[in-house]
Amino acid sequence: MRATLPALLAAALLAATPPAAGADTPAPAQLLAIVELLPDPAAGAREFVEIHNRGNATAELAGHKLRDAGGSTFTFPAWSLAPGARVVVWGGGAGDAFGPAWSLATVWNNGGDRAELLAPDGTVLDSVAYGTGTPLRAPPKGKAIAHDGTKWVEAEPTPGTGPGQPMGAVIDVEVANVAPEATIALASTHAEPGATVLATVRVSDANGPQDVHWTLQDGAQVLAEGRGGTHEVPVTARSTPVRLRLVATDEAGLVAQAEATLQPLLGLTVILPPEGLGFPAFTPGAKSVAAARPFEVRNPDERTLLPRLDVSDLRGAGGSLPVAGHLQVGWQVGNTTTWIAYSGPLTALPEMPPGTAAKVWLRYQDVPAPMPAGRYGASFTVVA
Amino acid sequence: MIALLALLLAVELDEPGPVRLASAGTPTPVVWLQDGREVARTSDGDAATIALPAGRVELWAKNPTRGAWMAVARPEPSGDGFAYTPAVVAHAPPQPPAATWTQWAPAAAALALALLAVPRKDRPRGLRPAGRRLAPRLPWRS
Repeated sequence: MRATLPALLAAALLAATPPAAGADTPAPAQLLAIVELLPDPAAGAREFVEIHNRGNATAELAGHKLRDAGGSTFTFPAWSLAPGARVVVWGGGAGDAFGPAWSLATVWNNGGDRAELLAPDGTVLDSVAYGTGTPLRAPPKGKAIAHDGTKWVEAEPTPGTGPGQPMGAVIDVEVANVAPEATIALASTHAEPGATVLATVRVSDANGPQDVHWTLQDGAQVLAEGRGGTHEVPVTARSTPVRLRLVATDEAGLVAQAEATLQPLLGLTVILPPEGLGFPAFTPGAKSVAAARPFEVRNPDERTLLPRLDVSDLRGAGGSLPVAGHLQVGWQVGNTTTWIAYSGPLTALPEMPPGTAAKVWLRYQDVPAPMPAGRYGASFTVVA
Repeated sequence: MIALLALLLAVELDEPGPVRLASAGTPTPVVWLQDGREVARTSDGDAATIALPAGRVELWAKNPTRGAWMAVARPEPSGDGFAYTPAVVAHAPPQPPAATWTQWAPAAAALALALLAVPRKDRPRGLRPAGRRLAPRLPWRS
């Protein structure tokens, strides 16, 4: 026995209520009803539930749900159901022209259960209960319960057709299988070569996670593969970008793809002239002692980097000479050189956009006097 | 989220020698530890030099700041002119601000009220089963 039929009740009320004069009383847009259910199929057959569009407009089923008494739920993919047409939701296996398939092979309890059809907002559009505790007897093996237009009866299963009609006669549903969805999220978009970054792979399919297979590839190399769901895959960074490609394929052959790139964290590259910087000896009282040649700083990274210069104090025969306040840094980009005063360890230099380079000149100004003449040395580095 | 408090810098020298330590981005001095013992402190704009033995030495640079900061360690050779030396660099990314008691108080109050509102016998005792689909099959099920 049908437990609730709010949609049909609404239609009955509309039919029974005389329209007010001049009132526009359009037919209901759609009336979706459960019309057949096979809980205990014969050998070789599958469980199914059949939905009938009794309205006069095409029903878009995407997001509608079927639910059993235990809460197992099937969510319809995109599926257009023409007026008068029927759609079958099979238990397990693959969908076909009659309808999609539930990821569960067995849903409906043989001894008794309740099927509910829900709108996307959760409203129960129709339901039917059978077996224990209901007026409708559970059908024997191989028999279905079917609604003949006025009442529920025990009948031979006729998926996709009305009771008594030959099976397979009605194929007026619009098959609109949807492609799976696939995304990749990297825990970090940049990493030092050799470091491991977790890639979170999310693959879903309207027919359930088991219906979709995915592979995560780095070029031609398959890093991981599996069935739908959420998975974490460790990815090792290298000095060149790691271009990840996720390909998900469902059983109908529909494909979804996603891509992500793990960029190397390269830092700055410092290139020294083979001949050295060519610093002359320090002369007491000299106004300026300058390097003969610059070194070059490059940013091979894809990020803008802030280079910082660290120079130790000069040491030599005369002891120690401070560099802070004396050292000038010439930052040459193209033909333009900007002079920056070195103020101490890790002095910030101009930002370097990705792929840029600069020549760096060093000169020491205002050598103290008196001081022992001779050679002085210091070490420096550039970091970012 | 716990603030990152320490950076590890592994320095490897071919022979014993001085190593220069520097840091940038911290409002308070960075404390340098070797084998759990403080060996130096550095602030923005100054550096420290320590003597290290040959081989690999792990230095920890500690600072509680939640902003981005960096620590640098490099050998300090002697010679003529300016000589480039590569450095070991470690970065601490910026940390999200710590939640204060004023941020937790409303949530704690709401939880307390909810617990008071739910009768004791109805309070959940643990997680529910992961899902209907994982439940054992009923004996009459096909």
